Amino acid sequence: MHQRAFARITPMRARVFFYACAAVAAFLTWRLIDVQIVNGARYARYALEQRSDTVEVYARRGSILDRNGAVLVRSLPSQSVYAVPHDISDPDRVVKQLETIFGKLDPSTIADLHDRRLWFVWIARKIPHDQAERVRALHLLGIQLKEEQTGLRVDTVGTLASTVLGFVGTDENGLDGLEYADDALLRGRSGKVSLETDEFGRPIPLGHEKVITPALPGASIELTIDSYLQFVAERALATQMRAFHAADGSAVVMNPWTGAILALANLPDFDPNHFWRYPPNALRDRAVMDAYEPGSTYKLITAAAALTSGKVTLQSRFPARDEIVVGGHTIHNAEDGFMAGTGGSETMEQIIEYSHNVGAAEIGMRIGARAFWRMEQRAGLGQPTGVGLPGENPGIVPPPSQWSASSLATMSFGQGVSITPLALVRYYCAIANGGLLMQPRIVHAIAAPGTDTFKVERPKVVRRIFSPKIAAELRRFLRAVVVRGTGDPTAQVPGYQTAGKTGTAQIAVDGRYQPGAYTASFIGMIPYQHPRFVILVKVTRPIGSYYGSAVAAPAFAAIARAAMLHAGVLPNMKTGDRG
Amino acid sequence: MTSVLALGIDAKRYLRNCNWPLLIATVLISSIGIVCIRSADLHTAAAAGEAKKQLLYLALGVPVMLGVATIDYRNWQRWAWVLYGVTFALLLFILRGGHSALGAQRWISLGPLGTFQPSEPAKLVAAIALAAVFCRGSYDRLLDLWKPLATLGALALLILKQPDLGTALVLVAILTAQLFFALPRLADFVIYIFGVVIAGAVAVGTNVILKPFQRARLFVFVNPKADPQGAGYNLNQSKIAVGNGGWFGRGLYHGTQTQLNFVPEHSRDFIFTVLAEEWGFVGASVLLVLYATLLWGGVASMLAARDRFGFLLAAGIEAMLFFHVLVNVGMTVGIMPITGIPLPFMSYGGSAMLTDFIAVGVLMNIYSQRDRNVLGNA
Repeated sequence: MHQRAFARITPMRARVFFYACAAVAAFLTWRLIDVQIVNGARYARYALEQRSDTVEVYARRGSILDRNGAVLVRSLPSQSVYAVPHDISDPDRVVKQLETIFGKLDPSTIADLHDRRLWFVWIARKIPHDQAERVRALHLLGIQLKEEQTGLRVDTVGTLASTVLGFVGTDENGLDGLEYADDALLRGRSGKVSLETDEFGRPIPLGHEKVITPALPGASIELTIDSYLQFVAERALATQMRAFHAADGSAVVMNPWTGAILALANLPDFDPNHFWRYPPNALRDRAVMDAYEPGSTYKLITAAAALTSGKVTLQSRFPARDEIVVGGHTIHNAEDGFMAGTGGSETMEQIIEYSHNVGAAEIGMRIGARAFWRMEQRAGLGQPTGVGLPGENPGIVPPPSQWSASSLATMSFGQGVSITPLALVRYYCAIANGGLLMQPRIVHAIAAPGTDTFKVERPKVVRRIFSPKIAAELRRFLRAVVVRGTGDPTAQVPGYQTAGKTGTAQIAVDGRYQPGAYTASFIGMIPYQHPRFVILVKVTRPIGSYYGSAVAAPAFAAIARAAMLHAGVLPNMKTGDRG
Repeated sequence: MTSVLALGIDAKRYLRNCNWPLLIATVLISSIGIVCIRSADLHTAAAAGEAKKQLLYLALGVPVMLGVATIDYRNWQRWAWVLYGVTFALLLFILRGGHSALGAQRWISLGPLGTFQPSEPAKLVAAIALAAVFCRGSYDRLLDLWKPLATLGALALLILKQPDLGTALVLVAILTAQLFFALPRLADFVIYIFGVVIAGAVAVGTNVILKPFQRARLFVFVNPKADPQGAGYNLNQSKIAVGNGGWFGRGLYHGTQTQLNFVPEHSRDFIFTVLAEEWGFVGASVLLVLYATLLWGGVASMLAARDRFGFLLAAGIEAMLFFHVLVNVGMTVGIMPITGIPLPFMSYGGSAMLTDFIAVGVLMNIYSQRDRNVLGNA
């Protein structure tokens, strides 16, 4: 032992040891001050950033209302159900319980529920509140509910107007119809919010929440559609389609003075709440997307062109023939099954009344291509109407430069052109309102985002296409059709005066007319002197009869009658038709 | 009556010779530790109940400490080799059949009593054994160093093998402190330090001594931003949490970074971040003052030692405690690499807690014999 040496050197070293320790301790303290005090604010900011997460907050999607403010489509808060198979001890029991709420589960879902290695399986996305509550009430271990950011889009009226309204995807993105066309309006603008989250990014309750950009709710839109008229139109169309086993059909009701579409029915249709269950065929907005050969209803273009050109007057007479040959093409009469009863010659009114193709061809040839084409142009045929519904078909109305020798003759009675029901209705509205081509409208008013204050869209006149006098004369022609011609008596409505035109056209497929395939249509207005409604009914491929008078006119009459009663106009048996 | 009187006298003597700073600091630090563990485990299901267990360890540890304080420390010198042998055997055993957790084998299962971590008492045993080694021979020659180096090396290698770099470094710290006092010539100590630096360079530069993940942690300490989600994650997170505390802290149970589990292992190695975040600089300073008190009490024991063994043992224990505090607190504020060293009396863990209490008990006994001080400055 070197106790003495030890005792000598140790106090000195102990002092060194102490100072070394003190120096290290001071360094430690300095670091603590540096981190906590000097840079404390900076680290606190890091901390906040780290537990903050910027999340997109979806805006509430706007509702779609009818012209009376009735809700057609709206968004509700929704929840989704998912499973954590890892936590499920008795999958068979869980499946059985869930099936009491959701019905049969997908076999692959059931298989996943049995796989204890899995941590996440969707059971049902976007279920309504009541279903969510029932799931919650089961208290199943491993079955969880998640609040969805986007809402559950609910079409409250089912199939009504479905082809117009369209539908949305899972994230409330508009996929078709108005939901698609007005998606930007309805969607609003999603906002950004920063939330405090834990290490897994889950928001913590009572955490600090900072709105970076507020979500701007989508605008609600009010349609020109009247739910009642829509219902009546769909019912009348369905009745006729059933009676004649038709493939599909459309019916359009328009206010001729404003261009407002009051009803736009297409069949077959679908339920937007379950759109994926329907074939694409059922989703089409036929009145807007599908152009068809209008047939005799197009004769009013010929008549309007004739009256406007001045080359033909009401008294002008045309030889009444059963057929003529134009450009190597034989034109027959009697497409509508009504023979001329006047012998040698007939007026324009009679040609329209009995829907004589030969007569219409003669009118067309008398006025010439320029006058005819000019009227087609002015009527906006062959151009989209700009109604604001997706996939609008402009139709095919070729210019004279593309015509054959027989084109003018055949187009005069509606062959060799194709237009949409909507474009034709718009043209007849001009006849009804005294010559003004209106902009057809489906949106009546738009609410300021997030409010119920609607700003009404004003009706828009595109142009005048003929004078009120000519319009009145054309209406008289149409009245004659109903009183004496092809529309008697199926297009008559007891107690009211209607006017209109039948149309029967063969359907061409790949440039050839298909035998037995017809489009039967009727377009008319009520009451005829000062029409409130212009109504088109078009039925495709009817079986049993193919005449517009038999297939389409009864639906027109049913819709017209209901529309007048709905508008509060009572029938007057003294002045009105007998029916 | 006489016995009561005798007891009274004994109590008086005991009170006079009691190392109060040690007693007060350990109890206060442990109490703060239990509150912090409670906070740390509020939202960590796996760690639920740790605060209660720690309370049990405290209730057990204080009597053990006071009991050890009554055992003459010179007994440890007598039993040094037995203790060493048992510890060596235990460390060898866990390399074979130990309880593995987080990629390391450090525990021996004690059934319902939980687990026992022999590397914790190994630190104390190393201090005892080294002190005993230094009491034999003069160490006038540099080559005499082989004895303490071999004594420590055997334990350190077994611990490194687990792998537990932190504890191995603690052993080195104990050895260094004792060498500082035991070597008659300061030049030898400088040579030793030189050797340690070279060994450190080899460890950091090659895979010979350290595993790649340990080296990664050392590199990350130098540049924590190099890999913020990987190896640098712990360091960055603990710094952010400590900084988030500011002057007065976020309030008990309201430290967002710890409560939200951004900081890992926060009831164990990172317990200081809980305190620093929730109690702020003020709370952290109080704790550091308590540690200073503890270490001051340790120095008092050193200087009161009645012989060389007592002095060196006290120095070893002192170095052990100081190194723990330095490295643990240092790593949370980014001046030390993350090596997994617990904070004495704060971190959750029975083995470490009891070892520390016994170690302080030894210090108290050394102090209680100060009437026979070898340095004459008690």
